Amino acid sequence: MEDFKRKLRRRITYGIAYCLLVLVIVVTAMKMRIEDHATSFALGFGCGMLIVALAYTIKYLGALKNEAKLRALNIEETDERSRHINERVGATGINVAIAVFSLAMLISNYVDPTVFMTMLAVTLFTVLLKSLLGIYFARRI
Amino acid sequence: MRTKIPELRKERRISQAELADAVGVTRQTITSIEVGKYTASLVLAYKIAKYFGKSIEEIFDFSELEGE
Repeated sequence: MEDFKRKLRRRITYGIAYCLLVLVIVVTAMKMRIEDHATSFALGFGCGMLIVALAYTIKYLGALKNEAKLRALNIEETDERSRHINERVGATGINVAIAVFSLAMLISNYVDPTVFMTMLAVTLFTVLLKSLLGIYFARRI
Repeated sequence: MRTKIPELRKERRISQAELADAVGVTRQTITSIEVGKYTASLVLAYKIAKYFGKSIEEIFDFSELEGE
């Protein structure tokens, strides 16, 4: 359980560091009056992730103070059936994504060359990612 | 895979949650193993067997693998 506590403390540190970084970026952007669409979207995205990071940080802090919550969280994270489900979701998800991206790529070729090239790049990247992950895990396991 | 976990739990008046907590998994995992939807890993099978003081073969029914 000590390893898990260390892991949670590390996550809390990263979470707080991320929150502080986003706050500094937001304040800087506001002071510099940067209001273009891309920056506004990036800041909104960063703030959304900040809320998620904050929620997890609070959850981990609560677990560190309560032994029963800590054990429950440890079981939740290490449960073998949940891990098995996640692995299945990942494997199925990437195959479905490749199929959908390929179909979208073929259809977009009739609509817009730019969209077609984008979809082609996305499809190739996903196939490459799947192959590289396959090689990585084949060597590791 | 069929298991004798439900019978052993009833004999000893242990809930799924108690067993799950003792072997370090969620209650849903124990439910899935009991109804045959999920096959426990070797490590989990060992922990469950140890918890009941029995061997793995006494708890998990491997007869359906005999023909393979």
